[in-house]
Amino acid sequence: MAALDHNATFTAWVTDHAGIIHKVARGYASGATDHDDLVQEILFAVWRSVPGFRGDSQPSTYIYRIALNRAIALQRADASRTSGESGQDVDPDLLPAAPEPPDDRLELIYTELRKLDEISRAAMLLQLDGYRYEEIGELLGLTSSNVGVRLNRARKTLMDNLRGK
Amino acid sequence: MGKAELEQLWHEQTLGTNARFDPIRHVARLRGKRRSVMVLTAVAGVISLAALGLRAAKLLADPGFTLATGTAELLLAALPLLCVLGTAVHLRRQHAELDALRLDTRQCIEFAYRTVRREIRDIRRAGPPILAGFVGLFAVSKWQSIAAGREVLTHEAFSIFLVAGVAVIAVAVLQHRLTAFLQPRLAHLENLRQQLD
Repeated sequence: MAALDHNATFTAWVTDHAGIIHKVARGYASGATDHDDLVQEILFAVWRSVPGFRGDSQPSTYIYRIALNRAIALQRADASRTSGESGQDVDPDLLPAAPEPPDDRLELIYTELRKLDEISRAAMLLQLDGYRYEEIGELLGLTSSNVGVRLNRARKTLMDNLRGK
Repeated sequence: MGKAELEQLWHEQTLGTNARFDPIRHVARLRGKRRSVMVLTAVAGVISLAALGLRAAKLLADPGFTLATGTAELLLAALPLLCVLGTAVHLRRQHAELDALRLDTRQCIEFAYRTVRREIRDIRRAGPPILAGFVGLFAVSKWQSIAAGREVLTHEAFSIFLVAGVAVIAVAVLQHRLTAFLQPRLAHLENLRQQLD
């Protein structure tokens, strides 16, 4: 793929699917520095993966796969990364989506999502964005039934934690 | 907060394009950093290879050269090349891990797990013999040179301390990499594997 095509495809992808990178970064990074680092790492990983796209899935699914794998593999075994607020003081140039007005309710959802284990969190993000069990299983390397069990448990934990808040 | 409100908030997130967002610039920044490391490694590789070649040529042209007396000098010249090779292997592993991001999460985690485990095994198994062999060969070579009267112990004390210092630093660097980076990452990946089971 020529450099021009490569960059043009990449720019079109991340512009059209900015929300995916935004949600994955907020779901996996707790502080502003972590968020900025993760967005940059995801962008680089997506850029590098453009020539490897064979067209057997939607670009959005491909971007989700790379973004989630990058976020999960990059995550340090550090408990401090599972708490805190992700939307504070991030570099506006590194916000793939349009800057949002601060929304405590949305931040609460992300905070509770970040308390889930990495794999359940990925499944939950995918389900919230409308992916079916089979698709989630394919992305994560799990069976559909395993995805179902995992999502039921994650959803219950999430709703229990959000109830009354 | 109920399920309906959660879904409503989720789908109402502002997901329009940020006019200030320039993805190519961010990629270029990271690419630049990575490219600098690769260029530096390549340049260091060429320089260290040339230095080793020149040293070997000089020794071979010396009529008094024997393998025993020249080994120490060759080892010192080979040391930077060894470091460059180590860096090159590390960079190749990093690239392979990036390529594995296209796989599903289970395969991606398995790949990273095997890569980190192999690096830990390499450091533990290959590190001590390489370092011990390096220091041992150097010491034997120096001892033979001194015994043959080509060198004097007091003059060579500096190079002996230098090599001992390099060996200590190498052990410390490898130990730090093991405990600060590789073992925590392996534990994290092991945890992810368990989550996937």
